[in-house]
Amino acid sequence: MFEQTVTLIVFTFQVLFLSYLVPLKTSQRLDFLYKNYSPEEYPKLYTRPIDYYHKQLWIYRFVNQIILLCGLVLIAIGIILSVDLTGKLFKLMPIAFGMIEMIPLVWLERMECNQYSLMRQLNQEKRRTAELKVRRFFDYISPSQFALLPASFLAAQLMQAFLRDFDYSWGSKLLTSSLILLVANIFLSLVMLKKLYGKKRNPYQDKKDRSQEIEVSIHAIVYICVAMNLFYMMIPLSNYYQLNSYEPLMSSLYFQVITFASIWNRLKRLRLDEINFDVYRNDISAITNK
Amino acid sequence: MEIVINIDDATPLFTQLMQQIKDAVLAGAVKPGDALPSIRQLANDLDLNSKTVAKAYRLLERDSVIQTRGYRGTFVHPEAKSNCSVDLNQWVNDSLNETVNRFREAGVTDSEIRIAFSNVMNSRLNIGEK
Repeated sequence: MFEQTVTLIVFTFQVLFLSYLVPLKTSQRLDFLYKNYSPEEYPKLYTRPIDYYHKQLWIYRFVNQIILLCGLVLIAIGIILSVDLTGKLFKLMPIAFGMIEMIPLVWLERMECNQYSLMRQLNQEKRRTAELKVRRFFDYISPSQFALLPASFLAAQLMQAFLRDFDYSWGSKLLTSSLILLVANIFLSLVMLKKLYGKKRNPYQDKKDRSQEIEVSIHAIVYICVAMNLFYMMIPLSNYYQLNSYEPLMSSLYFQVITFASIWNRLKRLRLDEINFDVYRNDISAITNK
Repeated sequence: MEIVINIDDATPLFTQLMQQIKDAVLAGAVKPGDALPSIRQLANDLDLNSKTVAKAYRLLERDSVIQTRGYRGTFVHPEAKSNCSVDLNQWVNDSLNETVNRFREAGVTDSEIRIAFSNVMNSRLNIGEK
């Protein structure tokens, strides 16, 4: 009963955070952008007519409202019908619902990629600038913060190995989960390196803004990796101590933590009032990388 | 210190890059021993082909303005400031100019000069192939 109540509360937080608060903040940010940085004054910011952006924002809000409604219905079912949310049937519900909640965010990310791609195609600038300075990884994150990543990875691997009797035989659960965790960490590390050394996605972006974005992205990825490693540690631990009824709760918390570390962190740290929008004007004298 | 290149300029991009780095050395914006961005980083930041940046770095290393230390990266040469004023291309132009003028004074025609130059270049190429 206690697990049921706690799981329901945490799942409610998940629904409200991912399907209400995050979309609300994102929409407000985009609204502010469209109202204060018009296509007439900042033509380089828009690759399509402004109506297109308003329409996309409307779709984003609508989809999130539908998902929010579904989430609230699930919570109502849990409360009114006293369905056992900790049972095997609902074990995957927070993860499954969390993935559905991620869909609008993934869609938004894809839109952003398309936007930058179009910006690069439409870019008429003949001057290209770069700093004659090495970008080093530890310029953007302290070694002690970064150390959490390998430490959590090793802890997760050791914990799993210990709980599964170091059975690394071919086809064993331990080998499979170890490899999945390793591949996931490597993949996210490569994403970090791409952010650091890869091509500038936004051709007009000010170097200070780019530096800030790299820093926020690296921090986000490190914290996501740490959360992922800890989650991988908790699941076999809960099985070992027969705390399986807490798995939906852990899954829900995991989704909230990674959303907080990535999207929420980004929304809070990359403030619109601190971004140099002059680079999107047509006036040449205003196009200076400060 | 910022590198600025103009893709519409008649000057080749690698030449612009070389000149900018030399200017940075002469202005003291980068000092002997300072690390420079990797070829990949600079190519990505300037949205250039990495071969263009690699060529600029190779020629700068030939001129002893920079030095590559394997995996550790690329650094400004200890004698970079004095080496920056040496322009190999200018020296080649000046030397060829002088030589061609001497041939003309001796009565050699332009087509004879071109044939001789071509033969010398081809013989160098054959020696190189052997």
